[in-house]
Amino acid sequence: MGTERNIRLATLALALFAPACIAQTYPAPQGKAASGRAAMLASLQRGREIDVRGVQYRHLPEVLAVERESGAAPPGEILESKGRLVLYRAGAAGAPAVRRAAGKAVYPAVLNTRTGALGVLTGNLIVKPKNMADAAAIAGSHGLDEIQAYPQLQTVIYSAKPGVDIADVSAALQADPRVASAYPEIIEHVRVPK
Amino acid sequence: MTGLAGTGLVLFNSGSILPVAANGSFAFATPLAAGASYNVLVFSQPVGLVQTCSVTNGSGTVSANVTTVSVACVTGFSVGAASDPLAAQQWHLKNTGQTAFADVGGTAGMDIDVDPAFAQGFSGSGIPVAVVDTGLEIAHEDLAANVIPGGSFNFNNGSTDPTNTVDTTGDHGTSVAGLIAMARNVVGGLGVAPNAKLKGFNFLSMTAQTEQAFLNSLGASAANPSSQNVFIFNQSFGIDTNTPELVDPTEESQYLSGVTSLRGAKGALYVKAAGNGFLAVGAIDCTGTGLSCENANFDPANTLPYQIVVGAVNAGGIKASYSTAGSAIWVSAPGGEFGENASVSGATGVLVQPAMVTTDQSGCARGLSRTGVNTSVFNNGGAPNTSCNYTNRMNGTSSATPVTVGVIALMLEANPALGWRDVKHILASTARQIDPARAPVTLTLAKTVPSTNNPYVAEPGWITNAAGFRFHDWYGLGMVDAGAAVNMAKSYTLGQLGTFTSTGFIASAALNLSIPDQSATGASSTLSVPAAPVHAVEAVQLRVNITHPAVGELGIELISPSGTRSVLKNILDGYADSADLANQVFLSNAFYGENPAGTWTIKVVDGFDFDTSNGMLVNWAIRIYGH
Repeated sequence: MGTERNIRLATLALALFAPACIAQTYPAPQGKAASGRAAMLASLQRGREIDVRGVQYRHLPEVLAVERESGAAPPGEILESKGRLVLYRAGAAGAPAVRRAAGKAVYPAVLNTRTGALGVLTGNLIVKPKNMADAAAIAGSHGLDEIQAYPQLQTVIYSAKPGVDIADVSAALQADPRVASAYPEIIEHVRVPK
Repeated sequence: MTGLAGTGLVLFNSGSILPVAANGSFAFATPLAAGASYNVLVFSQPVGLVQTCSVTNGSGTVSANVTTVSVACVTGFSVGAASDPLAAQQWHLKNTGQTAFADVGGTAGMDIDVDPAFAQGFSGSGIPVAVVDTGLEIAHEDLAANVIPGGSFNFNNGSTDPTNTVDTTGDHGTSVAGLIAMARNVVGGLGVAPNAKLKGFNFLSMTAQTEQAFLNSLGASAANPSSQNVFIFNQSFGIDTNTPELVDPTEESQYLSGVTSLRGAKGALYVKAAGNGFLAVGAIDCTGTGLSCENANFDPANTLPYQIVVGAVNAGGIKASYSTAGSAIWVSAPGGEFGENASVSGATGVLVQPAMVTTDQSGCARGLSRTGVNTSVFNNGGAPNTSCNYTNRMNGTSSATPVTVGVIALMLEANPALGWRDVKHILASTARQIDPARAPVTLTLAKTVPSTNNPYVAEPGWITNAAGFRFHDWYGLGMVDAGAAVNMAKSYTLGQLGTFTSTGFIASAALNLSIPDQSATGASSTLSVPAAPVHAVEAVQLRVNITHPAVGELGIELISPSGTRSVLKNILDGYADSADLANQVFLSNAFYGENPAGTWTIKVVDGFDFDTSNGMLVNWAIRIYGH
């Protein structure tokens, strides 16, 4: 139901244009919109590199994400929506840190260099300690808040305090000998009704 | 007492209550004096198996021991005799060719065959189900009786009420929940498991969908939300993507943990929507190719063997127009089309074919059914939906998923000892082949050089594998059959699947094989799978590294040692001109039950020539799950 409009349009198109035989036609894989997106991505300033499970992301210093509010004026040039989050081009570049403005979280954004997808850094970090007993100590060492530990997954989710550079703390965690793996949480694909 | 099969029957007489647990004679503990009157009533009906017990010769005056009072219990119910006024239009339960308030009727008999399960009294009684979705209207008139008090969770405010107050055009989760467990009563319709118990976790409505909320919705949490006591997780969601994505290892670990540790270590059931992207996905529209634009394997969560991935079928008994195809589908189930009325919306074609009749946000101010929505008379608040508490326009693999969840709830009631793999096995063994004459999609991959012209079966249609299981990328192992599944569950021999294990990834060396443009010959390679530890396949994962500037052109297939061919990724799909497949994992269920020992062959075909250079199969690996 989440793609209801697309389905309707495509269904109508199929009813109108589907050939009796299988056509050797293929939708232009990159049309005008895709070219526009490529140009948009090319125009964005690149920041720090962040490693997430072997995939390289680049911080986009001038892109931020906030909760979409109906009727509210866009805080800048809208680039993309991810569910209830809207990504926009801010007036000035900033660090990869979550901030709060007018009581709302303002998230930094990243670019997946493998796929070209934009992502949102939530300020959380997914960490696998070598020993779960070190979870609290790891939080203390890196100035993090422990949100929840999952012993059955050998995983702890931490939160960076507002204003803390997520790229820095992620790199520091990855270098911590008590840590098996660590990466920042990135919302890249929103799960939608299917 | 005769016919008693359930538990919890209690009789009442003159201030005394008498629990009755078995057939035969019964006696109240407190004797009545001669001349006293007696009046035996049913104080509470049996729970568990749905039964109705009635008293004959229940009243009179005592003169001696009374031996003429009899109680007879009758098991079961049926869709046709249900008091729920909308049940007669719920074609997925019993398809009589009804229109479901759309314009065009379906095909009689194309349903999930649930009456044989209902007739035995199975109703999903007490089976806890989590609807991980946009919300759940816990006070809805046809859901409230089945909502677990305090069992739901709202991630946006921390309460246990996930009623959706944000969306005004329908709450997806409420409509999903109705298909599982609309109660047996005198309002609305009937769930597939009308006594299953519901929890709603509104993960999809979060502003920022965090990993913590995802894990906690799917069994990782004992509180806020309480998901560790859930038996079945309904996942009517997925991602829209035009680029290859890899599974999140933490999420994979959670699914593994869920099937390993939940439900008393018998394993929770994770049921997931295949997707609605047959015609278009994300920015890509594939209309006219005849092949699925989105592949069920696009969502990396669907490539895990712990899932039951579900495709959608319409009331005519064929794939719903939108239903994403792919080898990762396990079974299919009714999901419907669009349920409109031409007189209201002006629509034609599949848009006026039956969708699903289910619960909707209450009232005519919001919901799929609301004043002025103009999709159908029913959705506009016309009779018999003047309350607008129901809709006839729910559809999608989002609908096929809860229908399957309901069937599993019936199975678990029939045999609570079933493990998660037993449930998958029973669904596979009892699924019904539909659309049997569906022809394969064969294309001629014609380059300008005649010698490379050759036909290519891009979509194989129905196959029968060496273990005797039929499989189709549209339908998986077939459409769920509730009656057959419950009957098999009842007599199922536990332990027959042995211990779940895997071969681990068996990898090729570096190959760097060129993939010729628009040639059915493609690039091929083989790998050998040993005779142990897996003797019977439960799922096959394929991992590939392929360089290509437009991987949407590529078709990827596996051929088993028994000669079974499965297309894990069809050509001309919605990956379009996304470049390269790097450690990309695909899953196929087409080999279910086969002996995997021997030589497996991968073939990669380039189905078009938008690119200017040939791609390359760099290397590949295969992992067999099974026993």
